[in-house]
Amino acid sequence: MKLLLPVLSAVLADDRIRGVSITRQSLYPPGTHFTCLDGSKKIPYSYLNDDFCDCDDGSDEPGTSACPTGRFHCPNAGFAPQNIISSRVNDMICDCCDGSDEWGGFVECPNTCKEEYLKAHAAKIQARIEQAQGFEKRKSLVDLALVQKLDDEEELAAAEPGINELKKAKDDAEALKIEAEELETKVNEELEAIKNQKILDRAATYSEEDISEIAFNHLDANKNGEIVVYEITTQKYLDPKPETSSFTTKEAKEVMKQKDKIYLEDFRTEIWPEIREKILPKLERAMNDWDRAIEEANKVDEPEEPGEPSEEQVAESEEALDAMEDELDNEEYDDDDHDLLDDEYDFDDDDYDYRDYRDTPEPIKDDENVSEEHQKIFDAAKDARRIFDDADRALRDAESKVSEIRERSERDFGPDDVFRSMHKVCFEFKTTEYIYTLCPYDKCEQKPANGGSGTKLGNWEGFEDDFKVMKFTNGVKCWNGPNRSAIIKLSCGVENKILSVTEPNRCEYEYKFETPAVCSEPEPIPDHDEL
Amino acid sequence: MRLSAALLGSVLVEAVDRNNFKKCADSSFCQRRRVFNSDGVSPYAVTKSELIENDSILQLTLEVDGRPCLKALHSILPVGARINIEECEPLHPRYDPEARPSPEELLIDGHAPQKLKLDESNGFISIQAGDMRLKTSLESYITEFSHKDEVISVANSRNLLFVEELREKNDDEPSWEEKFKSHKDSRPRGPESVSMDVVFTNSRNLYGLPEHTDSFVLANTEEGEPYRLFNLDVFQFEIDERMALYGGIPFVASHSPERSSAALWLNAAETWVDIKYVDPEASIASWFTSGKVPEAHTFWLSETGKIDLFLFPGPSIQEVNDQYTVLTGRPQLPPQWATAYHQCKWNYRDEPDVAEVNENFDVHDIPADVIWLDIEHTDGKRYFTWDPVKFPTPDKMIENVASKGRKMVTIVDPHIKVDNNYYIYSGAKEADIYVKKPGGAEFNGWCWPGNSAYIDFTDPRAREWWAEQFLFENYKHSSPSLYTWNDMNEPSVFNGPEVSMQRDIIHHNGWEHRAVHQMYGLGVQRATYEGQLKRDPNSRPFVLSRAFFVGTQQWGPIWTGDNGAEWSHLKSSIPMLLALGVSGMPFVGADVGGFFGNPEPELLWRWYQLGAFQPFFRAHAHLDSKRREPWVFEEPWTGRMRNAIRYRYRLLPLWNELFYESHKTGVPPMRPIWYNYPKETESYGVEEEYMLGDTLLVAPVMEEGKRDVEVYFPGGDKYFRLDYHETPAYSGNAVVSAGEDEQIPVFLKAGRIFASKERIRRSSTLMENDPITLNIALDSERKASGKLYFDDQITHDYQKGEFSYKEVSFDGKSLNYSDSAQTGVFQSEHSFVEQIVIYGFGSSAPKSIQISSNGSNWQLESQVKGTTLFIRKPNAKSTGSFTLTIE
Repeated sequence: MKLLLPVLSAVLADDRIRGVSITRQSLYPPGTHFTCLDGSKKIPYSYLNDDFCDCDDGSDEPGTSACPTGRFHCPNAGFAPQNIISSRVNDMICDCCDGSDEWGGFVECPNTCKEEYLKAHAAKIQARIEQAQGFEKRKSLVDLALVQKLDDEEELAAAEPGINELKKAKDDAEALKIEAEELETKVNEELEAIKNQKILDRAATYSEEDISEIAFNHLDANKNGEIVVYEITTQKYLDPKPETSSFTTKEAKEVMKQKDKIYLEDFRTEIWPEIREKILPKLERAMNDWDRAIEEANKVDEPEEPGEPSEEQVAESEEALDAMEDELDNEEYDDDDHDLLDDEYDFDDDDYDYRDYRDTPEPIKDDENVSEEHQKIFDAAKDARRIFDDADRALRDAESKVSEIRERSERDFGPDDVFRSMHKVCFEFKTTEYIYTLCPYDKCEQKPANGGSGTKLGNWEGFEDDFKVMKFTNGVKCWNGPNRSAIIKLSCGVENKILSVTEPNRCEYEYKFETPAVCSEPEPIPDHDEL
Repeated sequence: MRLSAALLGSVLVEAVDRNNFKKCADSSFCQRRRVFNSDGVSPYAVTKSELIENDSILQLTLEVDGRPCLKALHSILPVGARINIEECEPLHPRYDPEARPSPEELLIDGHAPQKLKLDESNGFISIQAGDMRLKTSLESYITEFSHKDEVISVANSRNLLFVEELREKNDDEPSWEEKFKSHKDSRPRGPESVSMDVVFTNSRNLYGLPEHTDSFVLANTEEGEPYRLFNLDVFQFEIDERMALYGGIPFVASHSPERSSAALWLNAAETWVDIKYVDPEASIASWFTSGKVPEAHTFWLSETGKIDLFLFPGPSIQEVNDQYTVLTGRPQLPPQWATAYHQCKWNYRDEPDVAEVNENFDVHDIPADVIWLDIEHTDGKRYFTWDPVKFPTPDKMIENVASKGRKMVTIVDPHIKVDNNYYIYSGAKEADIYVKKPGGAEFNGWCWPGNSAYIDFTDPRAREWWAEQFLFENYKHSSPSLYTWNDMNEPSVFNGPEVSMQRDIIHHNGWEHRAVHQMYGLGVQRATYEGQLKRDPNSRPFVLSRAFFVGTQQWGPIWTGDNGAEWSHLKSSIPMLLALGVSGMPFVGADVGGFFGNPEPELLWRWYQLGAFQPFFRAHAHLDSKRREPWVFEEPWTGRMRNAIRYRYRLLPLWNELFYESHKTGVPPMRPIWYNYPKETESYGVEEEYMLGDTLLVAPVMEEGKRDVEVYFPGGDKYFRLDYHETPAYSGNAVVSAGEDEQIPVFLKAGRIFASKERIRRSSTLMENDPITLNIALDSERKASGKLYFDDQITHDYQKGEFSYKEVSFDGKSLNYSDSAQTGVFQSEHSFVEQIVIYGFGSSAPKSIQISSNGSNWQLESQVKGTTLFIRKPNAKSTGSFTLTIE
């Protein structure tokens, strides 16, 4: 047989089979034939490493790339031997540090085993040192956990008896407070009645035409001569269903006889009679305005319509109303649309309690009706409230401390309670864009590096993978995506330290966290070097 | 603020927003001039005729009452016939993408008009050159195109020819302005559309008109919308639509058992095409032909420009593709690595991420050739720059990827961030190469970087400037291992009409955008290609584009844009890519896995199986999609996807041969069955399976949960499933298994030979020296033949003869492996033939196998598995010659 290509030598200079470790050389005994190691076939010995795959298990080509399932052994003298995939033999990339995989001569592979060894050896020593230090640190964490646990227990034992006393003090203060407040309420009601009567009396001095217009002016917040639904919903006392907490647009429409806009004339005939009794006590300020306008009209040459606001005022108040309308319009994007929104772009509705801003009850003013006796009752009630508040706070503080300790005592802090010292302690990792925080047993956050509010990446969920992974879930929802979440991969290190934060999938964060808490005891350093 | 967030929320609807894109009725010229379903108007008469240009062009004057005088130029080119029509005396010049010297020089060869033989008799005027003839009726301007006296197609046979006369606006006429949604088009020149019908005689099937998601056979459009050609960035496109997409080729191929032929309507403006199939009884062109035949009617309507119609005679589809690509340019021969596997994602975050992806391919023993970086790699979407935090050391990153024989691709889009401190923006401003608003100010639109200017790629000066930006010294951190992706080149303008540019925007030489729209994307890709040539003239460029037009095939591949992770999109990739292939655009692919959404591992696996058998093989995913590199789903999925990708690498020698053939003759590697079986009528509508060359039949699984496929084997031929030696050859119809541990069903056609490489390395470039295996399938006469192509895989040296083109044939006894007549001189130093696999050989082993090469003879061993013969180690050089005798 004549080959067109140089004969590929199956054996190396020292008669070893190429790509086979010394210990396995005996599987390739010299002879006339070779039996595939899986026993499936017998082939002439010359077919060994002849760059053609004869055995299904690839055993006839340990030194070439011919078999798809084969492995090539690099001795890597001076460093760790290695078995590489056959397809990496003679592929123009140096995979083995001794260069033995590129025997075909397509590329020159320098022997780097010595450098690799030194590098690996140094790294191994370093790792071992760090593991030992970490393990020592871990011991102190365990000790610390024990101390903390005992502290907690002591604190708990101390706090519990005190709670009963605090409870009793609070109950006593509460009884006194109720008593004092009852008196105060009574006085207030008396004063209120007097005041209301005064307003009603004053109202009675106006003609029905005038007083209804005063009421109209009161409702017409932006003074544009028409009352719209938003101007009604701000007047809680008009709520036809006061038992429901909110005064809805629908309910306001009821008051407005289903009209979109109410002008003065319609108001007088249709609305006024029905709300007269409810609204009269609220008209003090509007009556003042009315009188002032009349007064001013009398002063100037050309009297203006009473109550006509200046252009500026109209513009201003219209702006305010527009803003209110926008808010309410937005509210019409109800739940369906709401789901589409990223919470980052979302408002907290509670910030917008504009509906109540003109309905706050006016405090009873010091006036001629408040006697010294009255004032004493007010002061007594105020004192009783303060004493109660203090007692209440003292009790709650003590209770929350106890429950905090109890909660902590129920937490799983891992083997030897080693994670106890990290309970709600926060660690930070800074990149140029963000500061990432990790607070075990609490949450993870991402804050812009240049300030601004943070985005929660997740709440504490628990450990996974035998305390090697922390999991945080249900963070802020991503625009067009899932709720953010984070997993924390723990590795042994001397200090608690976040090594990196990445986002392998959108809105799924991954922290690498070094901590002595997961350091195991290093194997004793052997006398000889095993590398 | 909350309100606007709620409005933004509407983009979450998982479907294309049709309201953003025009229907015919939304486009004034389409609404006005779509007369496909009406009878023609009174015909033009030919009132004057003369031969001009040394008797190579017949100029006809066409007149009829009430319409403008038209001038028609008829000529016969080496590759087909050409009909040009415009007004006799147009008020303004009309844009012609092919007027020379033209901005684009779209016609490459075969366009020189030939000397004509004129014949005028019996009311007809004919011109003839060679076998082709254009015969025109003088009484009513109707022109038949025939080849060897057989009528193929008829222009204006229904008298739908109409050229809206360019004129000044009358004072009492309403404004010419046109609105679409909130966008105004000033339309300063008013109505200017051109339209005409072309009837294919004796035809029942039309194909082409990419890019649409409708069936492969073009549908009858009488009842619905016409096919629309207008390059657009369509967000979340849907299947079974004739809406416009990212690219357009105004090319239709007709196919019948007797003949293939085609028409090209060379117009760069928005174009609508109607299709109707007519039974023989209702045929209208039959006065030209003997007897009544089925007809396929087409109607072409463009917003502006001239009529420039090319008719290609065929008669085979291979010849049609040859004629078309002689005229418009041969497909590029891609560097081999570009035909291997590409890994893309919007976006690999940073350098460690890239390093990890690169490493993971090796950890999981999955080959890959290219890692891609989408827009986030840039410094604030400033193309040609790098994000200083995420990509601080691109040289190191690229070098690391390249150390495994791999390449990288960065995205470079044509919209330029308006920022005077950005050297590309200020440089292009200084060079004065941005498109302009009608008043002459720089046009700005909204795209990824925010406010952006758009380089005018219809301007040769702009292309020259752009090309220079790719010089290694200009594009910082670029390297010979870094190539380019041009996206958003329709162009995409987020705040423009239909997410593109206003039509009254001004380009080079004062042309309005409406006239040149379809050529914009082509110019981007071409300028980038030329840039890569500038930096390294002897390396084959690689530029992926999303937009395309006539001629794109010369500059590189395209992909089908932003598809979805759905089974329907997987399925639709076949008709979409087949339509591109028959329209002269062979290097095409669909994003594996689907761009939008998250594929289940089963869908992703099936997509890898199919993608490995489509010309451009790239996985890609949206920014919001979960990671889905082939190892993400773990076993058994990693193994299944690994097998699918490795199959591609194994068959790279076949792809080499197919791309070379495509480069030489225009035939696509991925072909409909009828391409190889022109008379097999039942194959005309098949789009669930297809062929690679004339060699392999590919029958993928495209339904969830299915573990077998019903396969149709055409032509009564035998087909052997690759690697199944115990299974007899298939023919006719059969159910074929496609289980979890199996490869995609792929069959070798009896009578064909192809080469494979069985040693799968980390990347294709590492397989350069590897031996090949010859795969042979015997036909019923125990014969087979095939071709093999070898070159250095990356340079242009093949153009200087550094290639080897082999012919392999087996006559039942002897295998002859030798140079073909068209071979070059390339010799591979290391690659040899390691094995010959003969399917259908029979269950008995041969007595002897003798090989002879270079005057020496020796015996070879073999073994039989099932009915396949495996011949061991011929060890002849793959670029050499040998014969082998089996007894």
